[in-house]
This record gives sequence, C-alpha cells and structure tokens, in this order.
Amino acid sequence: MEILDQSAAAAMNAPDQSQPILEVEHLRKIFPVRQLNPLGIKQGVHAVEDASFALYPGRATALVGESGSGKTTVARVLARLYEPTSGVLRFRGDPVKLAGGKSLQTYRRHVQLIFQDPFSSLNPVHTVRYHLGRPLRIYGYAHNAAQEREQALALLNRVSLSPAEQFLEKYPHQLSGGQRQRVAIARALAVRPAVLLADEPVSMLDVSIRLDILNLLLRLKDEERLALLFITHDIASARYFAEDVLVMYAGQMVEGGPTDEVIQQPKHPYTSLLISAAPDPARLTADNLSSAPLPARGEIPSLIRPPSGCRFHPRCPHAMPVCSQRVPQRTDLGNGRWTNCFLYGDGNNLGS
Amino acid sequence: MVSNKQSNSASTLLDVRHLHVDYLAANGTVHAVTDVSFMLGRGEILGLAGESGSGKSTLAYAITRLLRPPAMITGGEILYYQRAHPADAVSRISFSRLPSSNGTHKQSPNQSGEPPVAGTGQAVDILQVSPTQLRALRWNDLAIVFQSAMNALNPVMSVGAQIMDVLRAHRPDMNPDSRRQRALDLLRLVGIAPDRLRSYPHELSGGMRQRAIIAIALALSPEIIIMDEPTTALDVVVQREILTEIVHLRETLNFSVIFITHDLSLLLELADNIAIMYAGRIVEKAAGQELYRRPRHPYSYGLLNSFPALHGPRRKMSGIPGSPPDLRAVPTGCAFHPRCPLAFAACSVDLPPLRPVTTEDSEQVVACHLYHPASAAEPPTIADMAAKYEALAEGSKV
Repeated sequence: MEILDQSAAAAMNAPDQSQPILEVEHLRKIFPVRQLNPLGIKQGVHAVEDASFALYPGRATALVGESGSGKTTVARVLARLYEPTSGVLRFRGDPVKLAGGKSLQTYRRHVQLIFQDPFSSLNPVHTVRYHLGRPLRIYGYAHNAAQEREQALALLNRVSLSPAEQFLEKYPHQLSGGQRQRVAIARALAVRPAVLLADEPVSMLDVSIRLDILNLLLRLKDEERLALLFITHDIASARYFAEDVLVMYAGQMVEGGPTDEVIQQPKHPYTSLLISAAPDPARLTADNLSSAPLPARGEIPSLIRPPSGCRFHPRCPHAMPVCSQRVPQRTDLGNGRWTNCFLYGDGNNLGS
Repeated sequence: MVSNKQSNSASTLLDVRHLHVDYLAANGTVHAVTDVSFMLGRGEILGLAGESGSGKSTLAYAITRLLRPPAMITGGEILYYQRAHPADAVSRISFSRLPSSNGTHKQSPNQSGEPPVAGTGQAVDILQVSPTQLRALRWNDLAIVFQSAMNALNPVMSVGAQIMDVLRAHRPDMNPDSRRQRALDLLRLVGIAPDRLRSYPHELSGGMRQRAIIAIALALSPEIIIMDEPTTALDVVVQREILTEIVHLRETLNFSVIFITHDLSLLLELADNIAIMYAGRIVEKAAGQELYRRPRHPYSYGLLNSFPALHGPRRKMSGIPGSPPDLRAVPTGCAFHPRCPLAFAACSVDLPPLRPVTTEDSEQVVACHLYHPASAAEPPTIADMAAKYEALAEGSKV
C-alpha cells in the first residue's frame, strides 16, 4: 500500500511522465539449493528481496550493483526467464499472469532482453537473416520470405549496420563484438517491444565501441519511446546513460532516484562506497589514491544465509543496533529520491 | 628524456628497444608488437593502455619470454639492469643467494657499501639469456600476475603450499620453517589473515585469490612485476582495495610495475607514466597527469573520451568510430588514420615516429604528424579534437 502511494507520488512529481509501462512490486526470488540431507532445513539463495520499481516509456533506468547483487536476476524475472517466488508484475497497469504458453508470448512481444555476451547470445550456425527472421515470423510481422527480408534489412539499418544487404548473410563469427551486439539489439527490436531490458550490454565490448552501442540505445529510446532498463556495474556509464538509477546490494534495493542527484549526493552508505571506489581521474587533482581510504571493505555476503536486517550492516561504517534487527523500509527523500536506510528513517520507518 | 638524462639512465631498470613480435598464422603474419621501445625506471608504475588486440599482453609476455609458437620475437632487445654490482649478479644467476626472510624489507642492494648505480650493473638482454639464466631471472627479478589470476591458482593445492612451492624451487637452501614464515609474512603483506595459509583457492573470494596471486608474485621480492589486467574480473570495491594495496606495496618494497589494462580511467589514478598502444605500436607516452590534462594523439583523446565521467556536466560522448585494424594488414602510414577525425594526406603515407611534443620540460612523446616540428599548421588543441570527433559522430549515425 505504501509503495502504491509512493509511485503515485512519484508520478505527481514528474507530471511530464506518462503512466509506468512496467511495474514490479515486492519482487522476491529465491533459488533453491540442492541439499544432501532430506530432513535438513530447506535453504535457498535469496537473490532478490523485496524489489519494487517502475519503468516509464522514453526513460532509461539504470540498475547498478556489484556482481552477486541480484541485478541480472531482476532483469531475468522481468523478461520472465525466471518465475518470481513472490511479487506482482504489472504491464500497462494490468497484473501479468505468471503462466506460460500464449500469455508468455504476448508478454515477450512487449518486453525484450538484450544479453551481456554477444559472443554467446547468437547462434553460431545461423546467419544474421535467420536471427532476425525468426522473431518476425513467430510474432506474425512477416508472412513470406520477401517481407522477412525487407523487414530484416530495415532492422539492420536501424542499428546502423550498413550495407545491410551484406550483413544479412553473415554468420556471427564474421562479425566483430560491436556488430554482434547490434544484431542482438536488432533481434530484440524485431518484435517492436515497448520495454527493453539491457543486461550489461557493453561490458564484453572494447572500450572504444562501448559508447557507440550506448548511443545507439539512447537514440532508439528517444525515437521509439522505449522504456529501458540498463543493468551495469559501472556507475559512470549509468550516469551517462540513464535518467534514473537504482542501487542494489545483496538482493536488496538500497537507493534510487534521479541519476545525477544520487551520484553527486549519495545517501545510502553503500552508494557512497560504490562511488568512492569507482575510478575517477578527476579526483587526481584533489588527492591521490592512497590518501583516500575506502569507507568500508569486504565483499557481498553469502545470500544463502544473508545478514539479518539491512544486508549491508556488517560492512557499514554507520551501522546501528537497529540495522541488524529490522529491514529498513523505504524512506522518501523528496524529488523522486528514496533510500532504504535507518539513517534517514523517521519514526515511521523505525516503527514498521 | 630531454633534461636530467644522467639521473634517468641511472634509475633505468628495463630498457626495451625496437621490439617486434609476430604471430605466424596460416593466413598471414600478425604483427602484434611493432617497434616498441620504452624504459622502465626503478619504482615506477608504467601503465600500458589500449583496446584489445593492440598488443599489450603480447608485449608483457615477450618481456618475460613466455611467448610460445606461433608467436615469434623477430627483433629488438630487452635490456634488464640488474639491481646490484656484477659480482652479486653472477651469484644470483647461480641460485645460491641467501634467502631474505624478512618480507617487509627488500634486501639492500648495496651490501658492499657502494651506492648502487644501475649503469654499472650488467645489462642483461632478456632475449639472449640461456634457459638456466632465464629461470633464475624469472620470479627473482621479474614476476607476472596474469589476467585470469583467479584461475591461475592450482585448485588442489592450498595457498600456502603454492607460495612455499615457489620458495622451494628458487631457494633450495631455505629450510621448511623459514619457508613457512616467509609465506605467512607474504600473506600478511597483501592483507590476508595468516590463518588462511591452509585454505584452498575455492575457499577464498575473488579478491582474496587476487591478493594471494600478488603474494606469490612478491615471494622472491622481484624488481619488476608485470600485471596483466589484474583487476578486470573484480568488482569496483574490491578493485579499489587491490589497487590501494599495489600502491602501498610499491611504496614499501619499491618494485616497478608494468600495469596493463584497457581501463584508462583506472591507470590515470594509478600509474606514474602511461603508454598508449594502438595496433602494436606505442602512439603516445606521457606522465599520467599530463595525459589526462593534455592528450596529444587523437587516439589517446578518443580513448580518454570513451569513459563517461562521474562529475561535471553530462554531455554526449562519441567514443572512437570504427573498429581496431586487422593486424595482418595494418593500414599504411599511421595505423590509426582510417579512424582518425584529424587525418590528412601525409597520415596514410608516412609512419610518424615518436617525437617529444614540446620544447618544455616534458617527457611526453607522441607519434603523430600533427605535431611534426616542420609542419606549418598549429598542433590541434583539445577543443579542436573534440570538435572534430563530434563532427564525425554527427556525420555517421550511431
């Protein structure tokens, strides 16, 4: 209920934005762990715990976190590659039926996922034409070979692979990493989606072509008013790419809001840690590497038995007794910003 | 390079001259490293940056002579100035040097009381030494931390055993107790609790495995450590810890580092000097700060401009159009000219040599025709390069 009010409030704060196209509420995902002892307590990897957010058309949202923070799990649940353990998924306001078959196909017509590694997400024994033709046929956009070819060429032109005729008959091994990722993007666009989930789309690519791909996604976002979820571990590219940012730690969302505000004035201690650890040449002029100690050390804890309360509390320099006892609820900081941290909690938060 | 040549040559540790490495492939020879020359000073952190396929890793493996066929070192020399005077150098080659049991202090190089002048120590050409000498040289003087360091540890040996294994091989006269002591010292040095000595690699996190690898590289207090993308597989927070550790260790142990990465923004914080490689050649070399403030080569500018910033105004960035060249058929002239927004007629014809940029007291060298002293045109400013890159990005749809 509280979340509902907040998303309504967020919509009020940004009146130029239309209704959210894809919403997640209280998403949880627990992966079962295989156990030897049949009588033992059932264990599971608590990959995502109580995630709630919304994607808006024509707006990019970045999901930032370290490996193991659950960001890929979120994307895969949204793409319905995984079934959530609990939680509600809403597409254009309607709850999505969590069943397979026809409804799944309808859902995927609107929501598409781009994978991290273009070297393994394309089938090596098929040409580009096959990769683009399959979704066109399956989703009923092309009914014969001529239509398929025509639309595939249009798709290749949209991702700036020209001359498109030449690329059509190529196999993945004949393409560079950037070209492969463009083909993967074209394949996602083939079903004319409203939501694009990009799971680290540039981290496998060469540094000099990363920006090309990011700029391509930005252009597509503007041209087609796509809602984009951009998953990354690189907070600087999140700032470049996205209007909003969500920070995840060990399966919990810890902070969110407009990207620049979150990066310039992080509220949650984990966000501060993440930003202070990121390489930043501009910092050179102020002080050097060794004189800027990190506020915290260590790594993401085991998610089979995650720390109680706020999962960041064992590493947090500001940890209080309450942090290990209760899970902090979302505190609204105004202007679309929120954080899950007791440091900013009022009595309301503590009481919940 | 220009000024105080004396002090420079005295502190030189490694002098790579005109190194060429080719891969002899069936469908053409790949010129992975072409005519690379640089000097590494004592205690210096030299960063090597470039896209994948620019020859950074090949260069590192060539320096340690770890290349296997089809890779061939086809020319050049790698001169290593040993740390002590010739007499000691001989004893070092013959495996019989006494162990230094204290991990936190490097063995003093001037045991005879004379100040060590590297010029007087024999320069060894690493490419010419015999297998026995090479074996003595490696790890004692020259250690390497591999790219996939997380997988470089033996999964069926405990971390301690792997450190002691190095000591057993290179310091046969060391007794088991002092080996164990040294292993404990090393773990403590890199920030791992000594009780992890018996841990197996799978019991350690990625960051700790990386630290363990660095501990093994440090085992014999080498002069030079080559780090090939040591933090690429790690998360930012862990990466930052490892980098802080490297800087800290460098300060206490005074070794030199050749740090290879594609992440230029990381190098800018870490390295004293940075060499930018493109298509097997060094196209620019400068002090880290200088490169950040004033990149000269259009490629360096493009590479710097490929990393979004954390602060400052948000602006559209363009990256570098095109993709790296096929090293079997490197473009004539400057290899970067097909992608360069500032290329002109001479670029596709003549190969620009590495030249000092300015007459000022600067060690920045750049291989670009735009900075030719005889050229009539003014060298481009940062704004010029930005404008040209932008124009190129506008012209071609992303």
